[in-house]
Amino acid sequence: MTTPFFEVRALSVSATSATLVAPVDFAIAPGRSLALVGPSGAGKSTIARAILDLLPRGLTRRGSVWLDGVAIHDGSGPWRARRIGALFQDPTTALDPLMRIGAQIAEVVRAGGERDHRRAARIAIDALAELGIDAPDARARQYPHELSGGQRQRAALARALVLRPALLIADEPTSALDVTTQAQFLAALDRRRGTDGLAVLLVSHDLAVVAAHAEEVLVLAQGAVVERGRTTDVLRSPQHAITRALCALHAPSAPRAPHHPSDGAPIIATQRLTKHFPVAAGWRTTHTALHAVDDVTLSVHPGEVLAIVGESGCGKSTFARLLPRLLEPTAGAIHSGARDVRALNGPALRRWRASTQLLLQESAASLDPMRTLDDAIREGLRLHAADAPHTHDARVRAAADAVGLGRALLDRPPAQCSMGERQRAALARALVVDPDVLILDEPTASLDAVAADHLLAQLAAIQCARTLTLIVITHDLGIVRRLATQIAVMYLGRVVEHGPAAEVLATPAHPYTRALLDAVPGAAGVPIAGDVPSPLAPPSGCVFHPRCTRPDRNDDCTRRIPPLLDIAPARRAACWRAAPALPETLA
Amino acid sequence: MTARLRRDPAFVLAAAILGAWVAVALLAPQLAPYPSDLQLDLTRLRESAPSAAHWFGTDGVSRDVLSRLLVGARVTLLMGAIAVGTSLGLGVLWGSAAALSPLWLDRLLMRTIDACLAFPRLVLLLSVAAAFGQLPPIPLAVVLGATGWFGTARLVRAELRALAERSWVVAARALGAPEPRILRRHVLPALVGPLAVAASLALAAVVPLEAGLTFLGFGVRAPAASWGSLLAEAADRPDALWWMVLFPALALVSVVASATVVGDRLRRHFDLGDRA
Repeated sequence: MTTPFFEVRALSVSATSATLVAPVDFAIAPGRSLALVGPSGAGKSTIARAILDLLPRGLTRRGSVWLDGVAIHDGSGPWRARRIGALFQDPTTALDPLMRIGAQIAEVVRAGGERDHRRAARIAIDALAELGIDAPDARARQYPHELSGGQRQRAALARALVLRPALLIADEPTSALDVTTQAQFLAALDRRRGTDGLAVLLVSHDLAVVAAHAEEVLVLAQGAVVERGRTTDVLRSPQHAITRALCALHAPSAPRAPHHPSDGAPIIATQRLTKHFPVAAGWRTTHTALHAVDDVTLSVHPGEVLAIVGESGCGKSTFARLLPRLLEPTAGAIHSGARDVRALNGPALRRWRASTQLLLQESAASLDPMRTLDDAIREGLRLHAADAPHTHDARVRAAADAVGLGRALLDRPPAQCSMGERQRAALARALVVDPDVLILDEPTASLDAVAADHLLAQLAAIQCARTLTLIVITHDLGIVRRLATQIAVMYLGRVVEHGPAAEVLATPAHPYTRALLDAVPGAAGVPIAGDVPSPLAPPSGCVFHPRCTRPDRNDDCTRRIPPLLDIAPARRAACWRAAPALPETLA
Repeated sequence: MTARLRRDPAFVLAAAILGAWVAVALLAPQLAPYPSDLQLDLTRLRESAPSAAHWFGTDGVSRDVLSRLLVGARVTLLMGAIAVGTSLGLGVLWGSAAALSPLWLDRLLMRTIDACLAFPRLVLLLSVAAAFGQLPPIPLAVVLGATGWFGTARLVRAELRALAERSWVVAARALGAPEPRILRRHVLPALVGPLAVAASLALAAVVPLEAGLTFLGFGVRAPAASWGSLLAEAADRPDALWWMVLFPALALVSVVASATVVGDRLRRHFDLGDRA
């Protein structure tokens, strides 16, 4: 057996009073990938930081780290920086907002010994191109805020890899990305493992990612390794309780059966709903419009769970805010039964908002920091409940119980609660007013896997118990599988496919839906290339045509906008090539 | 005030010093060993250095400096309070008017502020003094406040704009809360922190400004005393009359430093509360 080229021996981290990470040993061979998994607080990131010597002050590291047979110690900073690349979770903070992308990468190149400025800039652009970033010359001249989240994370990866390090430490590199950009990112990483023999230490809570992109896995809990081995073995027959619990979270659940509503009126129906944001362009303010939501006709029946999916920037969150009229539509109609929602105002509008509750994205931040959770949950009752205030205590407690929020937490301000607890408090606040419809915008985005699982289980239980209608905005197809009875797929402000969840997931009709399914970690498909085009200038014709891979796409696709048409009973798709039975008269 | 601030020794000490000065100002006539404007003995007690009978010495017309310092705290702190109140009031009104206005009016209001900020405050004050001559203490304090609210207006406008976008404000709207209630319950309380900070920093700016104006001859007129007037009397011979410079200056420094510390700690406190 050859000496492993990256090795960690008896690495431990301790604070003055406690041991945070018990001694751990592992090794990674060139081209291989090892994953550290475990619940939050297990010490995964601490190990990654210990290797990079980035521990917060007050923590001491023991043990040794070896790369290519050389021990890395505190004095080996510059050498380590060349040999080990690092990538952290948040692509927005990893890059300097005041520096152009190319300059940030070139800076690293020059730190690595390149003297010639122009050559450094050239290398930076090549590094971007190598990671599949299109128009790398233009991107290199842009600032981080001009790039999408996925592009930013790939630019950060380009910077981490530009010196051709032997090892990359990636701490939750894709947690902030949606499923298609995650797939592009991981594919780029796998390519570098193959071509350069890059070794990867992957820190992740997502077992689906780990299963597809790491050969070996170390399961940590409370700072100690509880299980280790080949990824396939560990995930197939987990031994430790923690591993089993993590695996259970990721067991694929069968999509829910389509809900068969009473043929009553839809509880919310939109007709050609449109929201354009005016954008001042240049001096003399020639206004252009950002097409956030375009021509969306959707209906939701009582008791349905509609999942709206799509990449970030597809108008999902804007659509969610249009329904309770937190944003005013530019055009189109919203009806609830016979009610015209756009005509409501004053108290009637406020009652509509109460009956159509929106749980905001990052709902944990939606609690007033100066008020206790109890006060937050009670607010809806003070506003809307007709009954006497003394009955509110019981209703607040019942709402807290329903979402699994301990009563002891009710008297605390949000700052003293975890993200999961705050999220549940926001959910309780939405439920206490007994809404007919609950709109959830990325409900699990800020939660770790365990807390997310908990929240989804509670949502499913509450939805069944109350026959609540749910609209779930998400880019996580796992949530869709667990909760949704109906799916609407949005792309660049438009609904491109709509139908029962089980059918859409099994036989996607629109090429974009298929691309989303192919992007799920471990799926056999090729990840979709490119990014969502700018909603300031949507492509002509079918907005998806620049990224479409259907072999039979034709001129129609680039010229005419496909309408959302019935392709099967209860199923609609907006694709010229998906509807073989399309009557000529409609075309 | 929360437990975290109460455990912060710097904050507690600074707040105690400010509180002590307020108490001194209120009780000054009782605390002062001599009547503050009494000329004790023009032949023997002029400009005498600190002694057991006169701890802080006497001034050029044989008045007790300690007594004048204690009574002067009244004028100085009262003027400080009035000036800070005026500047906060004007700043909040102007700033919230701008935040709630349509875009063109908002721009007009804020550009006006920018223009005002371009003038140094002392120049504004001196031109008022040139136009109206010497003002009595309270109108002078109002003028002091009226030249110092531009920054506060900017702060209030920016805070209100930012708060309107905060998740919990949107969440209250989503819950069906009417706008006035959202303003009252979720926006204004969040403004208290930044305003408390602005107030303490404004006090720290105003007290030395009053002293400076008096020093230049536009402030408090004898026989009334303020810390500024005490300093002004010794201005031409500070080395010979060191006790008339040292003690008022120490008093001034203690108030300004305490107000700065209180303001800074409040700022940090509310910052953290925001982020958590």
